[in-house]
Amino acid sequence: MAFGRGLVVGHLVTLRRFVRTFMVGAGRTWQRRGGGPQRVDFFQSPERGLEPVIEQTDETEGIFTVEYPDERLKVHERFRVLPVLVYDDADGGIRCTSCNICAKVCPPQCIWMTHAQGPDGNPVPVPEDFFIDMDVCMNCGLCAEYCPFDAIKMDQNFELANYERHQSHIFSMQDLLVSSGYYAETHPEAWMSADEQSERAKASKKKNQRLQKALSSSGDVPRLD
Amino acid sequence: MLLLMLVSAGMLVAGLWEILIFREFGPMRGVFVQIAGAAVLCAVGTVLARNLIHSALYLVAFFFLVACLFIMLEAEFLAVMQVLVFIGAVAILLMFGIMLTQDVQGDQVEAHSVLRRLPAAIVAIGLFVMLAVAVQQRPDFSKARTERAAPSVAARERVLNQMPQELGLDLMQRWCLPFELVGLLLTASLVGAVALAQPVGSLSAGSDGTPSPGSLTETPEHLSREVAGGTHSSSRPDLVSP
Amino acid sequence: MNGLWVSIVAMKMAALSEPVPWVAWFLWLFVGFAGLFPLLVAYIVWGERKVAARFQDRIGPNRVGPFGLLQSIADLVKLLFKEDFTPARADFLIHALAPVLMLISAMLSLAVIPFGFGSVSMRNDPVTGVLRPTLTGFSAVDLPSGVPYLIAVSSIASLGLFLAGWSSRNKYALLGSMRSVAQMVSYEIPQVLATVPIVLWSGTLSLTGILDRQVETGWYVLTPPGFMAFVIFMISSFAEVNRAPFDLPEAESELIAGFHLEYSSMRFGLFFLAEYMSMFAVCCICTTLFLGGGAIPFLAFPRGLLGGYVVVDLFLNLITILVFSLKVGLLIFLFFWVRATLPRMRVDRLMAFAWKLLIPLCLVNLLIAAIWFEIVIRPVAGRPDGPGFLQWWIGFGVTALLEVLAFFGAVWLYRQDSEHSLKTWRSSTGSKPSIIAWRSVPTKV
Repeated sequence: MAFGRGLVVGHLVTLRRFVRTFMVGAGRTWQRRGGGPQRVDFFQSPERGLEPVIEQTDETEGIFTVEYPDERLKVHERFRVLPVLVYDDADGGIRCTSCNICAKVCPPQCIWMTHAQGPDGNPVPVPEDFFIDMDVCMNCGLCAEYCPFDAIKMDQNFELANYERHQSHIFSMQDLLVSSGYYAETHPEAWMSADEQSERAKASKKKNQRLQKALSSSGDVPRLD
Repeated sequence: MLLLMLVSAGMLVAGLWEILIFREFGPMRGVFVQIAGAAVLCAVGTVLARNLIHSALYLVAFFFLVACLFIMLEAEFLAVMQVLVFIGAVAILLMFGIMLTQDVQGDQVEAHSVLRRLPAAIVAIGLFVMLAVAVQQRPDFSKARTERAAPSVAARERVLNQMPQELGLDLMQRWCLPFELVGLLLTASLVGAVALAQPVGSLSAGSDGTPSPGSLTETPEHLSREVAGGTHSSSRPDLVSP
Repeated sequence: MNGLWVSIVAMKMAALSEPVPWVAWFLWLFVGFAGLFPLLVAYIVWGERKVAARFQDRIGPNRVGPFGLLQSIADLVKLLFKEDFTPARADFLIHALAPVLMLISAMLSLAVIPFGFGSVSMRNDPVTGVLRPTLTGFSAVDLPSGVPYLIAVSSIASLGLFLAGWSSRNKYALLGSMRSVAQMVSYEIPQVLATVPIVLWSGTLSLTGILDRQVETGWYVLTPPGFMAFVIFMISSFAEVNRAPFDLPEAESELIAGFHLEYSSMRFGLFFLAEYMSMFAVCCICTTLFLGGGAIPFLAFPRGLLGGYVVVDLFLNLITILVFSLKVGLLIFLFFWVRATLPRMRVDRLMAFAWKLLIPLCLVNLLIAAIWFEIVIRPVAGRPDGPGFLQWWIGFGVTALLEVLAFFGAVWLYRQDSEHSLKTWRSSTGSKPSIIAWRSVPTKV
């Protein structure tokens, strides 16, 4: 029989926790974890994009609150939200060939596109327009997995809220296009991997061939490369 | 709504009464008339309200106004006890009783029958007449009243400031026997309540220890006895331990 | 109606022949009860959020104003602007009355608390009847029967709680209120019994008188029976004001919100206000009864200086009020601390805890308190220098021993009882009771 010993010990445990927040980590000082005075700058926040990034590990002691809009957690490379379409910085050419595979594998069927047509009415392997309904998208990343041309990639931008939900939540190609430089920045490891480098080379070659073929069959259009 | 109308009408009548009749007695009498009038109205509301909970609420208001009367009589300890015992305990138990015996919301309970009300009315009127006669015919009523004003200021203040002490001494010396008898009565009712609250069959079972008093704390022993007695084996499968 | 109360109050004051000017009354009413106490409550809420956050390694509110100090004001404004909703089948008047009753109960109990020492006047000693200088106490009213008054007004709260649940026409609300009334009625008994030793020792029911005795003879919490009474009083106060671990009436996870489920807008705000104000009131009561009110530890310091000049009195009162609020703050922190530590109790265990452990312990404690009275207090009654050193320590030794025995005995018996229940249950079902089996016992209320 314990006669209430556990009760007392339990209270001491929580009290220790309470006191420790004042002794260690961010709670010890008047500083926020990301820097700056913690409690008095209620009209100031850091500029967008310049917020301090906080590394949260299992060794974090004391207060572990990240004051989100003013401070951010590190976004890891595999973190994914919505798909985007990548175009190559080198030639400005879009990688997508409008092969429609992504639209077919998409589990909630939130992708659709229209093929571009050459002047003679034959289809050209670039999309004329490309749509993703961001309300429907479930961020599974299957489209990016299946894309044979590495054209569709998962983005990391998670701040998608806005005031209008009927028009602006269907992203068209203009909203979706990002440069390959941006992709290289957000996904450095994947970008530098041998796998993707060779894929990139192969895909651009293949695409060029197909484009050449399509264009030469329609006649008097100059070669792109 | 009925309550508000009744009370406001009562205040009006009481105020008029105060102006017409008790003009010369000063503000104290007026306050008394107002409180007493409101109390009578609340008592009437207790009898007439259709909803039992409303009825109980009128009763609470009545108790509270009686406490106000005690304060007027400078018996603040009694007023406090009135609130404590009657509002804090009796009214709550009353409402609990209403909810546990009738339907749980207590608002479908109505008693219309004149035949049922008649005996109650007769008893109430009889009680009232008895009390009125007793108060009027108390031989030394006026004398006691003048005597009460007589004690010195110091003694009066001592009683006012040490009312519980004086009361306690009085109860334990002069009124000792009635006090003890009331205690006996309460003990008897307590024992009766414990006996009533016992689950059926537990008094005769006896072998497996003392049954815990009070049915609010449902301990498994009651159930275990039921299990042993075989009152349910298949009808309540949720009792069988997995 | 107001005129009526004013005249009653005036009458009361005249009867006590204490010339309190109307200015003081209006100050208490409008600055104290309408202004300062609700504001204080708002900041107790803020403090609870901050402290609870620290217990959970968070920061707590820090967005509205520096330190998040305006958070409570923002919440209040939000509550004021929300829709005031009454269920269609609810009993409108009673639905509106219930939160007011609870708030009234909390505010009334603050009326008799001596926050400071007040001044000094000659009064009769309650034990010996000799005239001697006594503290008057800085309270709104100094009732001669303050302790039963506190119990009486706190019992109004359970009425308000019951009516709130009943008038909402909602089964969760009704369940919450039924639980709460059962709980409050049960825990009222140990709470009252825990104050009885105090009344016994000080020989008066007036809170100011109790404060005065404590300044003279030392805090009651420092004596073994007083400490036991303090602990029991605090535990039952937790239950009385529906705080964790006794927050069954509003158990969010099972009853949604319990009795105030159907309340919104400022009427819900009133419940909130009432809950925190009653917590504050209970801490004030506890400070006055056990912790010596505004007295500085082990010193009778400001007492001898009182009763001279008004300015000095005011200054000394300020000091005692500060000390008082420090003690109240510590007790409130205790409330937060317990809430951050303990999970909610089960209904049957809650009742068993009150009836099978606290009340027997209270009764035994009362006997031990009488022993303390006989050893330490009665022999020196009327002597100005208080109990002697030797007597105090003899009393301390004897009662401490008895208290320890009583505590272990009571807990042992309590455990025996629950062990016994468990054993009977085990032998009758023939299998080892898992926690699930224990829980699946249907309650038969």
